[in-house]
Amino acid sequence: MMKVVLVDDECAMIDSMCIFLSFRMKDVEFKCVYSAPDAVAYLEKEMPQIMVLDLNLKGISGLDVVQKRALELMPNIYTIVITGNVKENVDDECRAAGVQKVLNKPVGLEDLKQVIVDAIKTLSDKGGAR
Amino acid sequence: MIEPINMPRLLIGLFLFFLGFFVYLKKPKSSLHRVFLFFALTSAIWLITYCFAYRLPIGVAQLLFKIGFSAAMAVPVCAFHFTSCYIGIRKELKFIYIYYAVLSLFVFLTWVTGWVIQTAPWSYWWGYYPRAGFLHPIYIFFLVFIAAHFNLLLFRHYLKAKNTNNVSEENKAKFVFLGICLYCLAPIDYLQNYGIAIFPFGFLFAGIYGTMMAYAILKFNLMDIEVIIRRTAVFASLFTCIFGVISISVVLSQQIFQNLLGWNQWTTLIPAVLIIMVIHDPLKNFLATVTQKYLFQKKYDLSKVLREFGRSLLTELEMDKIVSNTREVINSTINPEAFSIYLWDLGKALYLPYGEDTNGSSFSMESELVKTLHSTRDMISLEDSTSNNHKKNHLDLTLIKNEIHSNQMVLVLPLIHQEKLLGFMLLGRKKSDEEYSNLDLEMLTNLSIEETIAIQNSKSNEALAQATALETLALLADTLSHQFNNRFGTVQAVLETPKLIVPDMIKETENLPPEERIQALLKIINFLYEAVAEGWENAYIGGLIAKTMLLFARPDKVAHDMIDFTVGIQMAYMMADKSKRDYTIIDQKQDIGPDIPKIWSNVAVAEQIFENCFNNSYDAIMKRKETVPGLKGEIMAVFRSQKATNTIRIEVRDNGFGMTEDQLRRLNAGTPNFTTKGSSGQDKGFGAGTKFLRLLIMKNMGGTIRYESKEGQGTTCIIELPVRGKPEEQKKGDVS
Repeated sequence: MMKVVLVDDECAMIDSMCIFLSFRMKDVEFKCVYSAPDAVAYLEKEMPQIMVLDLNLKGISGLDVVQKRALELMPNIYTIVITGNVKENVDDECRAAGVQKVLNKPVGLEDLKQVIVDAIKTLSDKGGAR
Repeated sequence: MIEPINMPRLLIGLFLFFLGFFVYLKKPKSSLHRVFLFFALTSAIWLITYCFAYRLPIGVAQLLFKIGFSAAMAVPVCAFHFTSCYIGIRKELKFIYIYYAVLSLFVFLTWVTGWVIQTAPWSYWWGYYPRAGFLHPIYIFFLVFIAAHFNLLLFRHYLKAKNTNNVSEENKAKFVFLGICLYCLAPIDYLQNYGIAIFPFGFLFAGIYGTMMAYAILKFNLMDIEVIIRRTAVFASLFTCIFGVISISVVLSQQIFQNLLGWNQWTTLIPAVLIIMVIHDPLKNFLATVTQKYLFQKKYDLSKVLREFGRSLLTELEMDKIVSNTREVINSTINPEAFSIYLWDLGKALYLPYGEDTNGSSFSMESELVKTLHSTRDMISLEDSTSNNHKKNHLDLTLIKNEIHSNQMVLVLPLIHQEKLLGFMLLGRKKSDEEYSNLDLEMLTNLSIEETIAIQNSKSNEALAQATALETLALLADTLSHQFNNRFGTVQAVLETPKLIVPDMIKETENLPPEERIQALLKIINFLYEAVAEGWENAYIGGLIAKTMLLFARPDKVAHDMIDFTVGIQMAYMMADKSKRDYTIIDQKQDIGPDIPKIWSNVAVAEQIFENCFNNSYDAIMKRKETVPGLKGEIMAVFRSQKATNTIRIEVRDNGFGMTEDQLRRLNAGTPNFTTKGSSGQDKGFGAGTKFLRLLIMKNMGGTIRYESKEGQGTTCIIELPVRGKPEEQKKGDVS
């Protein structure tokens, strides 16, 4: 079963996302984690194929800590970054860090679902899905 | 008929009479000036009536003595009244009433009985004089008591003025005290009431007192009276004085020679003319020197003036105060008819007068004055003696004179800093009509240098403050954008989820058995409730964040309300810039006491107060962690309601690096730009945070702030805020 982890310190937001995605995509396992250390621990244990990641996790950079560790563990992980950051070079930074998709907050749930569907398709095409 | 021996008494009486009216007319509405008039009038009536009464028929003399004696009795009471008004002690008011009541009794008894002064006067060699009645010694006791009272008050006032280090106030107090002390010798004239045949010379002390008051008015602007003496007026007065001396000399010499030698009146003129010829020039020169020395040249100690001025500007960064200090120093030393400071206005590209209406008077870079100041970098004087120097320097002052004369100014001092002409000072003629002395020019040159440094400091500070404000604003915008995104993102997610899936969830329940369906529907309702509650909470926090932005709006536009100040704690942690300070590594504790009242403020102020406190605590903890790596940082916010003082006490305690005693003293004293952080590197600071905190608490909230600290142990910031209601309720409270 495809595993997707959502990492954000805004608990209420990703909880809602999880509920929605779980309801609509019953064949995918969704998991919410709320901090960088928990995310790293989950990655090491569960090895998800897709990660939805917030850039700023209570002062810790999502890219530097979580994404870096994710790539070490699973070079083919599909990472979707959700950011509220308005800096010009965020996209470039994310691409350089191996992120496949960048979404700006606020993100529509249907849009997010579509991005995850596309991600699953991409991974399937590459034959990376387990 | 007044005999020559009584002429000085009459002149002193008239002098006090005119002095009293002169002071009164300067400020007729001031009680101090009014009381001085009474004081001077009673003295004048005493002196004038006595000098007429000595040689008049006994009936008239008795009447005049009653008038004069009543006035003389009123003198000490008026002196006390004047003293209490001069010092401004309201609690002495009851004594004034008591003294006036006792005085009225004595005056009444003087007129209707012979108990204070008897009906039959003494007859001395200079004429009649009142005879003491049996109540006279009691009046003397009353007089001594009042005199001791007002002298004590004036002496205390003098000591107080001396301790303020304000030379002008000290001199005023000294003259008033010494003058009245000497006047207290005038009651020597009461001895004659008891049959002692010494010529009554108490009027001399009244004269000395009047002269000292007049001198103090001229020299130190006593009673805030400014007398501008022009040289022409002084020479006219000198001429009158000399003419008066000559006239008296002629009359006296004629009488002496006629009486002693039996010369006729024409022959007696010869020695009189000789005397006049001998004394005329020395007398005129003497008077001119004395007047010049003591009236015109308000001598000032150059180094002292500059030292005090420099000291006053040392810590001054506000341009308004720099300019007002300069104006004060120049007025107290030079006293020009006009004074302006022109400063470069970058926006208008003009030199404009600071703190005044421009009235069209401005100087562009193309004006002759500015060009000349740029090239000479020296003062420009249009006074005859000094402008000759410019001729030597081949300066054509005609154009500049036209520009400056249009402003009625005669002296220009440039304010130059590193080749830049920051501005210039323009001074009019001296009110005394004198020309600027070398001492004046030297003082002004040095003063302009100190002024330039102060202006430059102020501008640097302003630029720094602007840069800091912009940086703060940029950081705030970044934080706000992040916060708004999170809030709206959450609101959207928690509300969109039910919107999108609830219809499908309900549809899925349609095929369930009734009981299970009810359970499923209840779950959906609960899910909806949680979504709405979550959405509301995030929307509420978003609103609070939006209010924080109001701190940067115009003060009159900031929305105030009765708020719970404790909300500032969470707001501050939420709004903290996470890239700079990660508060999750700190133990954030709270101890909120019962019944904390709401106060009239806005949430942005509450947030900013705590954010500044927390930031300082965080930095202090991080500093201590450098030496104690395993330290668990702790910030404790304590709230207490203090009903006795109607205040809220807030303490923000940390276990950071703390401060030295000297640092703590400087921080509590509000030393400008004081910071415990370094002046360079990553932890550099300008003290802007603590200054901003003080401003918010003291000016915005009307509260107090102080710190307690022990080096290496931690710091406690103690804030006390008055519990204020809405402004209209505050007003009602004030009235009640």
